[in-house]
Amino acid sequence: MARRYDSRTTIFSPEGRLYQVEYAMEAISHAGTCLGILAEDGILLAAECRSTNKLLDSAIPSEKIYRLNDNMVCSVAGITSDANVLTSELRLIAQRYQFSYGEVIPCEQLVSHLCDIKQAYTQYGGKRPFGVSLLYMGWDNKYGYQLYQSDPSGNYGGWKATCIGNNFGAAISMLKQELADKENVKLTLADAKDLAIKVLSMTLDTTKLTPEKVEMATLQRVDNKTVYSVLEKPDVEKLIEKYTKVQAEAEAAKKEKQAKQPTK
Amino acid sequence: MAQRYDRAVTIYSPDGHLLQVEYAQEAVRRGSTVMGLRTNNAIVIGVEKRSVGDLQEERMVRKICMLDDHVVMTFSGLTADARILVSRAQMEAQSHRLNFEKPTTVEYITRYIAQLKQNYTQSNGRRPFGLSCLVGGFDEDGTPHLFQTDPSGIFYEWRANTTGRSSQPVRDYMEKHADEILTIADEAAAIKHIVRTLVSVSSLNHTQMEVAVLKYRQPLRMIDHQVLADLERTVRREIEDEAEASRRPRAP
Repeated sequence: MARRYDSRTTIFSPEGRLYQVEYAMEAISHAGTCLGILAEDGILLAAECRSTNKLLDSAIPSEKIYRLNDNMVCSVAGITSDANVLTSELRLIAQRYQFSYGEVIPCEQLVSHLCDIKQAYTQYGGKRPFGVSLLYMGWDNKYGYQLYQSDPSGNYGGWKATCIGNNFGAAISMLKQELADKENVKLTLADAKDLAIKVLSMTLDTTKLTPEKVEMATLQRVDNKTVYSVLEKPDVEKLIEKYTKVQAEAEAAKKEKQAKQPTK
Repeated sequence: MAQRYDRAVTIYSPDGHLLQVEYAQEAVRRGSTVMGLRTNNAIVIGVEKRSVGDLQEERMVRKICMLDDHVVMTFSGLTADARILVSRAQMEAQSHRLNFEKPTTVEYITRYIAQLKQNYTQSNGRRPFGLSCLVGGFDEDGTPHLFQTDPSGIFYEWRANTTGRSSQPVRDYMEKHADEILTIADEAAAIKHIVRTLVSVSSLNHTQMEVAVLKYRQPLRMIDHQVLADLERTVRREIEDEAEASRRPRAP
């Protein structure tokens, strides 16, 4: 049944669904995981790197996280070649705006502009939709730090913390859980980093997280300037070590507690 | 049978259907429920809001949008399509202001939207908008209007209408209470009717709905959630009382 409505351009199935778009989203849920967390004093993106070949030139600092303009950075999940098209489009949109109006493009405007393009591919042109979901982190003077997510249908949303790609459902519910526990405490960027490592190591398929598999970047405002930094491998390693230590302690405490309980 | 006549949007099936348009209408029937009411001095819009996740920014979830200072629109169907349509309509509203030095009438902007939708059912290589819109607002002389458009490009003017997932029961409800709805005197009563419809028909609670009021030369006003919560309580009590009353005469 489905076959007839999913082989060519995006058209409606009798149930009013757009299969091509749904399949594109399906493709993304197999891609490497990306997550973003909004903190009080900054914002971060973390991504899973799948190709960890030793021969790859490490001079290229990051593979899945792209700088867009002075104030925005994005990370991608899905078909990488499609993502390259979209990131270069994003950079163009941002620069065109800056050229026309002499100021940096507001975050949401950049996101919604790109989503207009993504939507167009679901409605006409005879091409397939882009198989890419993106996470954007940015800062602008109206809303401060912002985290957005967009998907192949052309929908986008603003989030406090979210995740795309492989196992995103589990990751989101974990983030929700963790952030609900800390509801009254202000989340700092340092906390966010720990949280990102925790969520990634729990949701990735690999048994142990290594610095090669994780990419992390942060955005902060320092002296009225946006500072973007990609975490160095040793820093990531430290974070992972810290996490494993905390985890081991928690494990030990649990065992102790169990041992204390009288066995029936 | 259908297989050859629903691949391209532009052609009829032998029995005279435009299948892609009909499927688009199906997408609307799966969308969230929205309803609009016109009183003699206000447009009241009620929408079913899918629950906002804890991690999501509240500010981003918008089902009710302004096309211009005096026209409000809500929709059910594909949100991404809606975004495109809304920005096209906003652009048209501004262009009308520039060309004619006055704001558009509600009918004009609705006709523009409908025409755009119709275009997408007839030209090549596109699919129709999977979208049904309720457009409400005021003309320059202060008369309120409420229109509805669907994916085929039809538009009608209404006193009250609804579209989306439970549009049929909502419409049944409104038709049943047509006398009350058509004689609503003030906006408070209209808001209550909207809440009552959403509560009794699609059994929503106040966190799952959003109600907005547009009045002549006033900015759009979203009804406070506290107010909605209070209304929900009264409405639920009313419904219970009515059920009670209808049960009583039968008792021996």
